[in-house]
Amino acid sequence: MDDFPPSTEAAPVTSHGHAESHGGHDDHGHEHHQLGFWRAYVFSTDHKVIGIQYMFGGLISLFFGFCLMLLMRWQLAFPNEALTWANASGHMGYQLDQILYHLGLSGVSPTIPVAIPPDPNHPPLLEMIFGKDQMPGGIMTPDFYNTLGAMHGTIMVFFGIVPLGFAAFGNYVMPLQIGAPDMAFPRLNMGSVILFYLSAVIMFLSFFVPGGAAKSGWTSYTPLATISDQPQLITPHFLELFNFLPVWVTTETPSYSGYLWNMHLFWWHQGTAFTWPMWLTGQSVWIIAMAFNITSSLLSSVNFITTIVQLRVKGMGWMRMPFFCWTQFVTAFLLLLAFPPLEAAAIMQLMDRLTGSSLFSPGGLVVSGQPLPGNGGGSPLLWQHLFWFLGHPEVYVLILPGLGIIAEVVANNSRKPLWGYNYMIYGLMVLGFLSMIVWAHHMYLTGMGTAVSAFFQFTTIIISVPTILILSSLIISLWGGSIRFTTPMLWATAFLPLFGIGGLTGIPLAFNAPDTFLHDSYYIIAHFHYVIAPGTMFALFAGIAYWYPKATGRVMNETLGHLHFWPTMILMNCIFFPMFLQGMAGMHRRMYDGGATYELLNQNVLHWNSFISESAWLMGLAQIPFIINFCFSWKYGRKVSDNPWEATTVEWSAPSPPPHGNFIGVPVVYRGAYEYSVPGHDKDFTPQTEPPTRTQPTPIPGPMPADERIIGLPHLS
Amino acid sequence: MLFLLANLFQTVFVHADVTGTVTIQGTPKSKDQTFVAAASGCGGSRVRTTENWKIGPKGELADVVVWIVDPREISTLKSVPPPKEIMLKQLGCRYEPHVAAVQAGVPFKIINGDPTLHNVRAVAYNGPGKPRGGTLFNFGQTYQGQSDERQFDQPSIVTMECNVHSWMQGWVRVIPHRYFAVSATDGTFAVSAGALADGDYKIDAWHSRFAQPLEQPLKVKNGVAIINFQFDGAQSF
Repeated sequence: MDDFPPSTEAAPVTSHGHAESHGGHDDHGHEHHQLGFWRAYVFSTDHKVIGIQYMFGGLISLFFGFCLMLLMRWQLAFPNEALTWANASGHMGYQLDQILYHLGLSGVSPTIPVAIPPDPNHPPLLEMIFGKDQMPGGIMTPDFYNTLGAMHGTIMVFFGIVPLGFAAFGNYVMPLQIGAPDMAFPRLNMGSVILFYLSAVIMFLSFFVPGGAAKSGWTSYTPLATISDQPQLITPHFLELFNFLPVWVTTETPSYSGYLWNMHLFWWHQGTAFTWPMWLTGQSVWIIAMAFNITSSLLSSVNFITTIVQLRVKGMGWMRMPFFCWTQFVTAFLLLLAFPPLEAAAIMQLMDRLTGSSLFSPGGLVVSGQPLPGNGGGSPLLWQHLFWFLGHPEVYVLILPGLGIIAEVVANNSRKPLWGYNYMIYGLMVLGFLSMIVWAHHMYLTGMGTAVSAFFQFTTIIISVPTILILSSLIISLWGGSIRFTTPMLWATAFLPLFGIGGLTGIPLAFNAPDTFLHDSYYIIAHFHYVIAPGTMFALFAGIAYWYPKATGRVMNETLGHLHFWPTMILMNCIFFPMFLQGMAGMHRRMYDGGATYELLNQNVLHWNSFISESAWLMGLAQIPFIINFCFSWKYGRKVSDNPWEATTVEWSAPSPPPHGNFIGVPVVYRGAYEYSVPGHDKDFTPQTEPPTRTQPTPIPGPMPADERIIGLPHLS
Repeated sequence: MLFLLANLFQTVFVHADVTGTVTIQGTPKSKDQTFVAAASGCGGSRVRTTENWKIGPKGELADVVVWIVDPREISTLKSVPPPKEIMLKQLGCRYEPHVAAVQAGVPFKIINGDPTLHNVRAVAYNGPGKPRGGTLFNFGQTYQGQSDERQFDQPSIVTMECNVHSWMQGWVRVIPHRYFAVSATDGTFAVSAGALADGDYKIDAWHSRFAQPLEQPLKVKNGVAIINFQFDGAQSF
């Protein structure tokens, strides 16, 4: 594998300018100027730098969100045991002894280790990090488990996958693929990434506000989200130094009695104690962070659409555009149309929390034995509709960029045009449209009428048609190809069946009868994780390995790539497949002790909890080769040519890494995106920017169904 | 010698109590509110009222926790009697009793009497107008008859809540010793004197709708005392 892509160590690529050496070089009539560190790497308007910024932000978020899940898995595997080194090593030793015993290498059957209670005099690390209210003695409280669940979902979806799939790859690759020198609105682009980082910092800091981060689920359902995380009374020790300060507020306002109380902008002094204001509690901070995040996505989506419409290079007709760009185009529309309702809804929910506006709160709400004053008239169902009006298109926002990446990798590594390129694009557009009218299949249990339910069941089933069309086209594209199992291709080939499992297991959920049983069970967890984890995330890994040489001029190490891929692929299935069994046995997804106290549950599936958790922790270890590979290849990776994968799309005609302005001269596109293995050519790829020769057929501008012209149907014989 | 024998006799054979009645004068500032609580497995009427005020025809006030401040016990050869067994039941999706008192560090039982799921969340109460404190424990009781034991280690005021049935609310006043009682519907209470030494004390009475407890001097003689409390409705919230 190390032979491909070919190395250029002997003759390093020096003919093209590198961004760092040129510091703003371009050949488009701009001034040649050096940018300082802050303008070049922090407040840059260059789409490539912004893409990389999104890449780092997204990867850090993924890692952080993954760690939250690892903590949750401890609680599920070993309920109410202190998460300390002593207990963890005890369980590790037990598992090792089990393996030795079953292999016949040890004659003594190991006994389950007894949990060691926490030592109150030596608080464990997690108690020191998250506080005594969240992890007292290293034991996870139910509330903190809820926090981890809510924040895991939020961070993975809105701060990990979307910024990676859409913003990072879209920013870096899409302008290069359409031959543009940059995005249409570079400063808007910079504003977008700043807002993203701002939202991420706010979201991460919410872990440390009194009362902890949001704990109402990533869906933030009302009325729970409206009343959770009330103001906290705190007594920081350092405040005792300021006891001479006058008491600012002495009014005694009963709990819940007035929302003006919640509107206090700053701390409310009560002797030595202070009230942490409502707008800074976990759930409020969640909403504020999401508002910034959504604004960032909206700015990006406007930018992406304008760039694709306006900045395609000469010859880049719509049907010559790489499938990846099409997925970005449709994704941008989904974000543009679906996110604003959620942003409006989020601000409305914030008003419910702070001003008692009751937009989503129903009347007669009784909390902690006391009716909430000033509530009534709102509709909790309205929130669900507004959330899922974003939520389901959001699923396709997660998936479509992944499908785009896989299409590029599959075409390149099978050395064949995409089979059914045109129909894939039509399917993509239908998919985008239908994704806007299926949202209520998340809400069958709300008691909607049969007519409405029938409509959403119908559209949900219909949407599987274009999805299967695209997936089938990708699978058929492999047929008869000269497949190169590079690291990107390994991820892509694993993506296809595993994403298929995710999609197919969604079909029972489209019907409200089986959904009544499966809703909120571990079956759901397994289903959507198969779509997103071995689905989208595998595509992201494929994309990172595939375009890494373009961004750095160096290729990632293949051996480390295999070391990353194989354990991750196996363990991913070990994690999520048993969840189907647990879910079908009735295990509820919200049980913070993994169902241990629920005796009515079928206990035969609970033993999977520790197996799943151990698989997850091992999968965490399996990411180490990737981290090493990603970091070290940047400087020590093998240098390769500008087009190491022998690809056809326009980005590979740019220098690696591309300079400011991207191209040496303005590229012109002469043909479709996937001219692989064209009969009569001396090589098995014909770049889009390569001018036609006399021996080649004259390209005709406009739609060119390359697949039909060259390969046609797969070689079924 | 005679003194010691007298004390021993009192400890072993005399069941002396501190008794009295709690009443309220005037009209409380707030009223109980009616609400609809719809849930299966809860039985009873869907229309319920809050349980803040249980006032008899002559102003007898129930659900008042009465306790002796800093009690002194007789130093005898006999061990002091064991603490009373306290049970907090969830019955008809309400707490029975609505107000309970427990001794710090002594376990008490929490029982699910309903054929439905309850979770039991104990939240520290900081007083009216102040934000709620942290969650002290939170666990699920899934089936009818499930019984669990919990304890509070520090004297405090705790509200018990069920997040499945959000209207459920119970109060637990945690007292550092065993000399407490909760007033009944007729306003009467009886603090079992047990090994309480004779002498002068203070005695407090607390109701959940008053910010501060009432306090009075108490003189215990032969383990017996009678004392009445009268809350002023104008001081309530």
